Amino acid sequence: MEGWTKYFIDSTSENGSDKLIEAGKASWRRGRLDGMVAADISNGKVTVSIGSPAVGQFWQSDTFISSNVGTKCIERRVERYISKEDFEANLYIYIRKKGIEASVLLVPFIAKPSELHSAGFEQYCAITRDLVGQWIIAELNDKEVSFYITKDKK
Amino acid sequence: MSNGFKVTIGNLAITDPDFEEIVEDQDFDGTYAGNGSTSIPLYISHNSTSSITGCGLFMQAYTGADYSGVNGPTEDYNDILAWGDAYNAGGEEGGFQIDQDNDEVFESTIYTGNGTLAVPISLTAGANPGIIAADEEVHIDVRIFVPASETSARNLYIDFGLKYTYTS
Repeated sequence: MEGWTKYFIDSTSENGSDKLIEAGKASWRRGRLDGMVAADISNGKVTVSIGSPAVGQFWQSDTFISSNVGTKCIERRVERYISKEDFEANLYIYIRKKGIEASVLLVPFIAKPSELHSAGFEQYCAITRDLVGQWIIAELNDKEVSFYITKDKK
Repeated sequence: MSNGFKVTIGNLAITDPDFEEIVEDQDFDGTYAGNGSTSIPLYISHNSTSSITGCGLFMQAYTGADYSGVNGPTEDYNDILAWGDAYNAGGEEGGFQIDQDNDEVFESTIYTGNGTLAVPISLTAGANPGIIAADEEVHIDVRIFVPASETSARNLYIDFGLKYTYTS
């Protein structure tokens, strides 16, 4: 499924496949935004997830190109805001990729090695003070996943 | 001097959010070497209720179904990009040019690293740079400048596109 999925604290979820979005039956910004604990983005081959045990603020934006043959999504993006409360709660955030290969962790560039924690197929990034007020962003194109931290979400 | 240069660009056709679509390819008139073509105005708008952001303009090899050039889309793209590269390096004027403030001065010429998909030219037309708001229509003009040294008259085809970011 190409698109995104939101996961909420009450164990419900909301799906925004490309087809539903194109049909006007799903919208990230007009859908439920409170109580989110995780979000997936998928290009149909690889799924990238950002999440945590606690509720956080998430956002989504994709990059498109248009030409005479129509519009193509070239990059999918999911973003999680790191709040002061996240830091004070000693929170961990997981970022993982699920695809053809086994799930792998993709956060070492974010956290120092001593701040990484592993549990099965997931690994976690500790929230340090320097992350507060920034967005952790996961981007997925046709072939690659990348992550970075920025003060300004797209 | 050759006078047989004709360039066709594919145009914007965006479905999500829906842009006002220009279905037909756009032709610059035949242009003499050493001259700029007549300009083509492009009006870009969309039907989303929110803004699209990070808007950039880029040129790529023609991807439409109606190619009837001589050397193929990739070669045409490389030719026009090379014209811009030469001009950017201080050589004779040439390449795909953009006028974003509608003053008939084409302030931007596309060359390698400026106006390609990897590095699009930022959209500055409109109320806010890089943004096309709901119900906003942005107007830019584009043209082709054929270098004076070109002697091989031919038809060339390229795509001109928009790269942008959108939250569904």
